[in-house]
Amino acid sequence: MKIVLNIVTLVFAILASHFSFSQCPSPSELMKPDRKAGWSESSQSKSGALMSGQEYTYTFIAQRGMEYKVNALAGVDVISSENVDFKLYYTEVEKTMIDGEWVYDRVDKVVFDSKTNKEEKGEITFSSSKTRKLTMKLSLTSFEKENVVQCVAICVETRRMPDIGLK
Amino acid sequence: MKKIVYLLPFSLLFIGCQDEEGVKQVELDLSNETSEESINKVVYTIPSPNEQFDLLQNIGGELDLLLIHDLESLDKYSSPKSISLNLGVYTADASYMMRYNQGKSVFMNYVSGLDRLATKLGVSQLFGEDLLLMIEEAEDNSELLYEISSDNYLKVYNKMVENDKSPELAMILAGGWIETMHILFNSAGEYNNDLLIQECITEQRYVLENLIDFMGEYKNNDDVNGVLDMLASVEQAYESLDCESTEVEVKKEEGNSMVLYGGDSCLFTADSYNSMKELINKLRNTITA
Repeated sequence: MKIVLNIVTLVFAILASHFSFSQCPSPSELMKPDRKAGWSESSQSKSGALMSGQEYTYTFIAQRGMEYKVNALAGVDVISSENVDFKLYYTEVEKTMIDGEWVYDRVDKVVFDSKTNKEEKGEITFSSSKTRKLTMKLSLTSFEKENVVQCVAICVETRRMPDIGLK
Repeated sequence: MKKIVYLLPFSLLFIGCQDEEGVKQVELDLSNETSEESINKVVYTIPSPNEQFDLLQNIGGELDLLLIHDLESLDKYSSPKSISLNLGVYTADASYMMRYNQGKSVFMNYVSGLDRLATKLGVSQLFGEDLLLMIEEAEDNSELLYEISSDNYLKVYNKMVENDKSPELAMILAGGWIETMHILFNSAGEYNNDLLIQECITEQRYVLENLIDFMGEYKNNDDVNGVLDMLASVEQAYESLDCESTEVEVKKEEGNSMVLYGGDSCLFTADSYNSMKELINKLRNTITA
């Protein structure tokens, strides 16, 4: 009996997950870039199903002369920025003197933490004076239980910055 | 510290959100997904050629039709490696042409040719008739044509993954990057002729790092491994640049926007510039031969 119940549960879980995933939207479906203001979807946008209780890392390139707007959204039925926390950071090499010798360490410097910027609704807009690598760490927050699969989207919009270079 | 890349399962999970085929992949993935190792936790992305040429145009780079690869050559490629790399080359060329308003007939030629090339990889209608229709309807609206070409990049990316062609996708991205570098170097001209484009080339090392990390997941594929060797030679050339670091400063601008200043800067010498330019031209000639 227990085996039958397990099989039924497994089948139900697969069907339920199938239903949920088939409802998962692509970033293009979630974002409506203001094209009149020059914004368009970046090729670096991603979406998919991730598990709660795990932390994921997304590494992307911010190009000089471009402005970026980044949103992270997650959920099962309702895809919302409230279901995901993220930190945006860059990595710097720090030099410290220890026992008379220079020691070099890679240190993550947080630019934005959605937990401490609730008023900005999980959206960040930024540009960079030069091309650099930036990283986002995402964790799903809406389920306390681990290993629940949710749809996640990292929506990246981009537009050209006006007036760079010598005229 | 060497990163552990769990890209493929994560990509499959990502794609799983998008359609029925992807859903099957998610189910398969989850069914044997219990260990930490099987969960991909790191994703690497790179800007599309469209975004790169947006930047090139913004800093004053001009169109040079002599730089693009001859579309007539596309029928000569027959191995999965040469087809994939040249799909990347031609895709980058199409983005370059669209950024510089070369019109719908040029775009349609690329779409038809690349569909034919992708069919040899077993991916039918990579671009598809819908795209041809959209281009036709866009008429001579060059901004709309450029938008269509940008949006199409994401569709091509997803379609390759859906068709279980991730190693080929990795090589397409590599071919596209080499072609972008070829166009950047030749737009910059001689050493110190165009310092802004030259600086952008030094910054391409970040794109290269992410590309190598992305491709690393498929390094067991001999073709991908061969392409990784090509990219490693460029990575080595980047290591010879003179670089310095300044502290990154984050400043808040109007409307909560932020600007990041500072960080690493690298400079070419005449020797390092010329040798990297020669290397890129050599790799590009090997790919398109």
